[in-house]
Amino acid sequence: MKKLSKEELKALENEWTDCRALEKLVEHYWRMVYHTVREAFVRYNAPFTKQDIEDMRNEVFAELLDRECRKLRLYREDGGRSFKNWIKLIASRTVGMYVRKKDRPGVFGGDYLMPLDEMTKVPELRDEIRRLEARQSLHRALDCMEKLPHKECLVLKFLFSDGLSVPEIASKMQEEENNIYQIRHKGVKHLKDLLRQIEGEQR
Amino acid sequence: MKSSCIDTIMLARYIEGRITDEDRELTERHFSECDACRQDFLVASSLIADEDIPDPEPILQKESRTILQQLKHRLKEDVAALCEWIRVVPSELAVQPWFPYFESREAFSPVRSAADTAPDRELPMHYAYHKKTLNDLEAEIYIRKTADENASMKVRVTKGDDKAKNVRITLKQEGIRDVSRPLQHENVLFENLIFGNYHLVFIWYGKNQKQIYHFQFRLDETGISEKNDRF
Repeated sequence: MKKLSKEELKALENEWTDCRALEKLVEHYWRMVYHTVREAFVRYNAPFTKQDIEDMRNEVFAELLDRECRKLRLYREDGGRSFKNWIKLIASRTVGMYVRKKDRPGVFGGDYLMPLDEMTKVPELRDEIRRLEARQSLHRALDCMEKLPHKECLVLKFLFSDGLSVPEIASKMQEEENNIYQIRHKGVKHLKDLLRQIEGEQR
Repeated sequence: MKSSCIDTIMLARYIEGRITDEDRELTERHFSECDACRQDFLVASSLIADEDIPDPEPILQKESRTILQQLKHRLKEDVAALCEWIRVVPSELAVQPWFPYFESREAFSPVRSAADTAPDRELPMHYAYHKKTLNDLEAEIYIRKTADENASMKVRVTKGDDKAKNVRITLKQEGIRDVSRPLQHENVLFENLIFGNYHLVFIWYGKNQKQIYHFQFRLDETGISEKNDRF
């Protein structure tokens, strides 16, 4: 099958958002959605099988066609700039919802418990105490983060929970890097003050 | 209290930078509170920015036809009734017997305003009409858009050709007080409905027993959709 030109694609996008020529939609995006779904699983750090990818790909198209192509119509009504990105966004969200589902079937489901005989190492008490203390400090810091102004809280979460760099955060939030550095600096200072306050209260 | 999760449209606007300052603030505030939405944003924005995701060759037309048929078959089992907003001028409605029950004569008169250049110009309205069978009863629901994300709804319940007797209709919406009315006249009116999820409960006090019927639906910019699990 030959690829479509930009003009042909644009004409088809108008039809798709009118719930027409859907065979062409499937024809054109079937494989792209497969790749996007696979990448989404990777970025969610979620284990997956080939069956998961195929199921999710089908689920994405079902979402697009459901309720008389409601999600396709929403794209047009919102005046979106890129149809391909809209499809990627739907695919990403569909995978996200699946990954977070508690009753997700199989080994990778939320309810999966590791059998005792699969545990190869019994942890030492000393290590466990250290780990517990570290967890408690982390929880305290996370609780304090929730009390920060939302922008500082968001930047610190991007940095420490999500592992993004300052340039990456600036790009995602469409802000200047200097702004993000400043927000980070303020946030860290506020956080330290809050933690000191808590430690003072506990003594 | 955490704010409600970000919908796909808002997420798309934020990622593409097509968002108002007010919405940006709300969205970022929500990201700071909700790990799931923040994660969704990070994954979606990285996928969209990733130019390494291949733009593969289309599949064969024959394959896509088969896939589409399978998808549609699957959706038929899941999908609920959908009524889209119908855009019409009032004079077109007058020929249908149902609507005069719900609208006063004035509603069908041409609307004039200073801005109108043609004196007989009628302003269009948007409405949706849905019929639901509830065992022996039949409910007719007529919803008219009154503003951008606002509507009013009239409900009529019949048994055979007559108005059903001893029926109470309750409209529920999460976070809002229930509104419950007996069906005394031809219909029951619910006004100032903001777009969102609703639950209509019909209670019929029959001779020997009480029967309860439910109709869950969503009102939004596309029309009225019956709710199911996929909602």
